[in-house]
Amino acid sequence: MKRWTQHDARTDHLVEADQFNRQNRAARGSIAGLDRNQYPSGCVTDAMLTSAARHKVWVFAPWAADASHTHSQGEQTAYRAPTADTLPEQFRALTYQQYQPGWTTAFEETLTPFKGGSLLTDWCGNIAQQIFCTWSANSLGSSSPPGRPNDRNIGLRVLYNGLVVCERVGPAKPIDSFRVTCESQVPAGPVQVALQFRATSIGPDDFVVDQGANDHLMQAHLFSNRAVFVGRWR
Amino acid sequence: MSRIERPRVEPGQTTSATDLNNTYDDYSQTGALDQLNTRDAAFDLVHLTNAPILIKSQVSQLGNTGMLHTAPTTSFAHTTSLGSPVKHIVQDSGGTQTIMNLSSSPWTLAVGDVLRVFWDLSVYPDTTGTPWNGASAKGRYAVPTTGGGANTNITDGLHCWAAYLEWDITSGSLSNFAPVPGQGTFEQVYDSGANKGDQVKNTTATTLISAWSVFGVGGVVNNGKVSSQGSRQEQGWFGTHGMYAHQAASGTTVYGLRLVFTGMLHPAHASAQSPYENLLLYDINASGTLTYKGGRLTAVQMRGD
Repeated sequence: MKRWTQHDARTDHLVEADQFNRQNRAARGSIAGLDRNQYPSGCVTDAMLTSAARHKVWVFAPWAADASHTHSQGEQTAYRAPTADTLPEQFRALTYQQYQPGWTTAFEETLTPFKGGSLLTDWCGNIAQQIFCTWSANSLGSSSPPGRPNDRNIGLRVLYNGLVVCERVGPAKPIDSFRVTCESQVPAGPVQVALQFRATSIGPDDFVVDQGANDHLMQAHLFSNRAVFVGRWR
Repeated sequence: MSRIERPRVEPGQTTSATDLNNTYDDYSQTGALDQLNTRDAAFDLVHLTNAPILIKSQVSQLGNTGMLHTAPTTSFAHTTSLGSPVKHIVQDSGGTQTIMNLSSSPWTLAVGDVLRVFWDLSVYPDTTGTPWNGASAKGRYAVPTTGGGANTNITDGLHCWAAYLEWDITSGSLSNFAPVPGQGTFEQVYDSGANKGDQVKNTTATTLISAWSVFGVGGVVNNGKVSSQGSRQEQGWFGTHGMYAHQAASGTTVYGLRLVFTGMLHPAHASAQSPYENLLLYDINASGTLTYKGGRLTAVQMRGD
């Protein structure tokens, strides 16, 4: 059964000529083409292959020079304290005054063309987080001896087309590097990759303001982010 | 986009050698095979005259050999003068630099090729005393004190060491190492010379290593207040790692790669920059050492498509 790999036209939808042609050619390639048993060894040279015929590598660097990620500078920008509220000796970053705990998309990229097959993601970067309150008196109610762990970490996960492919608890040191690698089979068509993070939420005893300057305290940040996506067709 | 026109074989038809040869000729034209007219799983490695993705790869030793965190190890100390920030090239305990030397057979990156570099290293950051509590140390802020009285100054604990990647694309003499694209040297001057460091946007090939972990063990933190400045918890030996990727926009020849340490650094923010700018600045008032054992520097050259 031939599947639609380029454009799945629905009832009452208009179909442009190019959409039909691309699908038709893809279908002809699958139906009328020679298969692996009919080709001799060493028959395919580089010159015979067009761009992205068998695979494609995307280097994703969300830097200012990339128009679609203007001003991200390789940093997560979903949560950024106002400049006026930022301590000069901290990053302008996520604070508990603004953070709504939950998985948050740091970066998103649409990969095309993608014929369908294996998609590998290699995501690397650095994190910073406030850990002074990682042990606090009331995190699990009154106890003896006083105090319980009040976990601090930055969870990380990768999604392909909205589905979680991998997830990790994430770094727990005040400054740390991380690397997330995952692979999955993905259907043909543009693939939307989301790189998400989740900082732990505020604990019962955390302080959130510098009493000296009345600035908000940085709680977590992702920066130096870079990712590589490798698509290999079936 | 190429187009291949050939009627499919109908059921009951006899496929002759001529038919097969004609079809094969269609597919063996220069630039004829694309992702649309290539049947799924049509080609395997045996059909290809070159490696499909990987062009070259190499693994080099970083630092010292051995699995145990015992001698030989290598150590260096923090920057004490902004005039000469510490730049420590990863080396063994005898002082011999451990780099990836490609000079005998340099890697030529064609346009579109992707250079991926990975590194890992076992590290042990250490210090004596409580340098983070020094009056001039960066990252201190005031919080209320349990029981009242003056506020207590504590640290945000964000001091760190940096390891960043350099390459030599000039000659096989390996005397022209420079940071890879997107990476700075932490030599930018801020605040009229009072600070030096780099913008976070120039850290695309940087791995940061926590200098220490300081927090309020026990009942120090209670209801938004602290009873002390907290204490350091030993991080011990741990692994650090990083990855860098570069897609060549022009032909580039790579003769060598190496990893360079610097520090100690601390986050900062330049409010005067537009639209905003996060920084990593040297803190010469915070002291410490970084000891490392060994690891690997791995590089691969891939076809981009």
